[in-house]
Amino acid sequence: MTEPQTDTTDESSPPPGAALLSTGRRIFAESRLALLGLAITLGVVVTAILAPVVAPYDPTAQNIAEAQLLAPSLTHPMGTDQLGRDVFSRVLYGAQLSLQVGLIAVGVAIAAGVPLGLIAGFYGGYIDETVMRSMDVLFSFPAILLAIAMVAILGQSTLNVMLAIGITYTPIFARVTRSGVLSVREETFVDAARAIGDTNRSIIARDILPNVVAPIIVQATVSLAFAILAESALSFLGLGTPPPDPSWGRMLSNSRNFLQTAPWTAVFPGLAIMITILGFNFLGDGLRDTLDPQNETEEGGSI
Amino acid sequence: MAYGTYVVKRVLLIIPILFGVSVISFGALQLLPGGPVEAAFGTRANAELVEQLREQYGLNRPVYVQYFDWITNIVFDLDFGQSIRTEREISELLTTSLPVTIWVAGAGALVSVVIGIPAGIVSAVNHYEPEDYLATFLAFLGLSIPNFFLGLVLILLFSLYVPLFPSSGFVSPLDDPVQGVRHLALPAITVGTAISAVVMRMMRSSLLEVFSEEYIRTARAKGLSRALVTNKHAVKNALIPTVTVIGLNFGYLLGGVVIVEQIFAIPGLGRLTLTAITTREYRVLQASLLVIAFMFASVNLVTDLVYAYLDPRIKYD
Amino acid sequence: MTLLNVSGLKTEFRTDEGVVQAVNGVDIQVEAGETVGIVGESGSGKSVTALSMLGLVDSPGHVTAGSVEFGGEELRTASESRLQDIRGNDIGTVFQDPMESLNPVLTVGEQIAEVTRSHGRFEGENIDWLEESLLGNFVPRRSARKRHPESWDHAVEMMRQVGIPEPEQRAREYPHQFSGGMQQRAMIAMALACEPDLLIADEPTTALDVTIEAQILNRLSELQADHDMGMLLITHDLGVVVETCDKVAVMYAGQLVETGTVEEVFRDPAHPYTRRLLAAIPDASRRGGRLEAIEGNVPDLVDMPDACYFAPRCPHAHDACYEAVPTQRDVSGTQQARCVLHDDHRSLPWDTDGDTTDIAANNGDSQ
Repeated sequence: MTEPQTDTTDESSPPPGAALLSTGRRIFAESRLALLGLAITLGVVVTAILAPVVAPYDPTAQNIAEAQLLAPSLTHPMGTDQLGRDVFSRVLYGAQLSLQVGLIAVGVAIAAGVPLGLIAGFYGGYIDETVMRSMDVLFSFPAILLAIAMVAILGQSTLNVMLAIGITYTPIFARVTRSGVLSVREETFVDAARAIGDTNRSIIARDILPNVVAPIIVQATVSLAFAILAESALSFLGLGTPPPDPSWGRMLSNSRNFLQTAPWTAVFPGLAIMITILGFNFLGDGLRDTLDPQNETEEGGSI
Repeated sequence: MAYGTYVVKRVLLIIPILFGVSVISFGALQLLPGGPVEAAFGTRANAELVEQLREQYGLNRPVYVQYFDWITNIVFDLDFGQSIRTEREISELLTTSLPVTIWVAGAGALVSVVIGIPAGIVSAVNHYEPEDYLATFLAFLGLSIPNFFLGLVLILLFSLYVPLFPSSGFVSPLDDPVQGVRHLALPAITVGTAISAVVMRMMRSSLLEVFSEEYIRTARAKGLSRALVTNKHAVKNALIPTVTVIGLNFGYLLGGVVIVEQIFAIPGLGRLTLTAITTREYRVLQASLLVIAFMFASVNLVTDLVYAYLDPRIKYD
Repeated sequence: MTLLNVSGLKTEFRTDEGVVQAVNGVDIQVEAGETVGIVGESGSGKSVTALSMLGLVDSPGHVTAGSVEFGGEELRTASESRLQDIRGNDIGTVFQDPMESLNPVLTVGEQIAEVTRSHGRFEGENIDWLEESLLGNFVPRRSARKRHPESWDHAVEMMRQVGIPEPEQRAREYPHQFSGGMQQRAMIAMALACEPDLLIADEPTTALDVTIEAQILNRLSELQADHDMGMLLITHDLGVVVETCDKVAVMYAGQLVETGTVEEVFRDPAHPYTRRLLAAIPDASRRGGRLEAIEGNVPDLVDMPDACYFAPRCPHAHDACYEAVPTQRDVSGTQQARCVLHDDHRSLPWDTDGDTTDIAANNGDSQ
């Protein structure tokens, strides 16, 4: 009888770090897409961190008199916008903003959604119904409108944008967690844990959670892409980060009036958004192939 | 269970969801500082006028009374109230903007199907060959490009540089087919691109699954041509989950529609909602959120029903 | 002329673990009106053999050697379109699991009528371009019955012949509405719709109850006699072979280890594997004893040794068995066995004079 080939989520002896490293190595060896995604993602992260160092100009410094709507040149590699601000610097700083908002938003979604999914999946019955119906109500709004509505209620600020996006993506994490729990709940090792008298809480923490981590990671990566997209969209609609902080979405919105005369004000921020999202999508997809072969994660579509 | 019972059950399920939505959209807006009247007039209003209007609109009554009033008016009279700012009947606003949004959403869905399904088939039939990689890459691209960016690029290319399509406005295709389609073209492509990527991937993966089924082997053993096996035997099976994917992504479709209505200045429900938010027209906002949720739930319902209808295993017992 | 003449057929699968030699030099002949059985355990390569003959082996599998002559025509070099002409038309196929082998979204009648329509059996009722295209899925059309009435009626008639009750009604239904036995009958109807010269049946009754199995096999025999059809019956069930076949070929690890008429092989099995297969059949008259299993496991088909494949499990193995892969030796009449023991007919390690009134009588192998 040959050894069953499963993935290496080993709960017993080797330290989790070692298993993680070997899984990580395996993912990136097998999937060139994931590798590319990782490269792009790291590129964006590095840009965000190094923005203050690399950016040639202050992203909010205006220079209407001399530098309005200049085409890309050596002094301004991506041109300037209608207020004379250097587009390149703004794009660099925009990376910072996008990543910040994205990470915190996803963090909020995980912090709210995962416990809900755990509870719903584990206890089942009434609790499950209640939780999932509430999630359904949230689901019955298109994500962008939900986010918009929340920003409208809470007021326009970066923090509120993060919260709004986070709450919008909570149901997805609840669902993914829940289905992960459901698929593991009936496994024999859970029965075994129960048989030796583990409390429910420790069963959830020690037996179920580690097995649910993988799809959550994949979902987090995918949702991060769309959280960044959502922030851009909100900013585009004028509801996101208030000026003058450089947000890619807002830059796009501002460019609408100058589309024909100064297309660079639209093209560069747009490309920045696109490349960032592509990177996260590649990464998420590559991770999914290895970590979540049953595809319990959801394609959080665009916006 | 029988198909008829299934339909009824699913329809009935909408009601609690709509109820929840109505409570939330009503309740959330109550949390706002001040009220609709203050918001409508800002700081310019004098206290007397504000108080008078509040009385007129019954805003001094307890919350649950207001809610009950609002909900019963909608359910029994389809009366959504009036816009405080413009004094127009909200139901009128809804009836003019809803069809527009449906046109845009429908056109976007059509684009996604027309692009996504053939692309998915080409990909699956040629899988692991260059066509497949190309199509998959394009799908990724389609998913990653923000639709507001795409919209702007399309306007730049096909409206400004090459004046083929108008960059704004809406004409109903029922009134003027040619102009209607021209006005819908760029918005539909903008909305449909991301969804077409999803459709393409779903079609590809479900077709690949179908190809490994035994009935495909039987079809080939019968001497049927490759084209027949693919298009009649395989695709028909693969279409079922693919069609439902479109329904499932309706929310994203609608989100795209909201943005597209902004970019192309189309007077639809999305634009109405956004305006209501920025001008703080809460009654309009409540009403449109409710209508959107209803649309959403209906599409989900229709998707489920279509799925059950298409699959003979579900339809016939 | 021999209806089907297969010689030296080899098929391999390229997998991550290596090259799997699924079919390793198979020779089979089927004459018109004759039933030949291929018998073996699962994994012996019998199904792959059938698929290889039809040219239906897909990547990562490839037919690497051999010839498949059907009615004198070499199929291995035939074009895909010629093969499509032959499949379903001159060679009919019945597969093992009828529920999985029928398309769930097409009516049974449609699936049967398709066969005659694809091969132009009825004037003007061929497959049209719309049906073959993607658009065909979205454009509503008249019902199958109205569009091609003759093919439809023929399909209904076929269903009647295979014993499906109320065929007019049933033809309009979907596979999942049929019972297992009826599904298999439908598959047979599909395979026989164009009155083929050869029927290949891969485990046609494995998924069915014993009583249904008997009915189906009887019906198959009747239909075969009616049409003077050759039949290649693939199964792991020795009982079925005895009931229905004229000749039998025993398959092990991708090779044929014994061939001959059913009488020859069952009365006096010449290959140790065949003997063990027969001995392993539980016999009510020997109650209380142990079941005679064959020790060991079917070999992993990667990197096969240059020796007799069965030797590791054979109770009579000796040095000569490991020198090279044994060739088929003549045993008697038309019987052949791939075993070195038959180089010397006089001294076989078992009795050869036993009579058989039941299959399992020859279990007197001395240890």
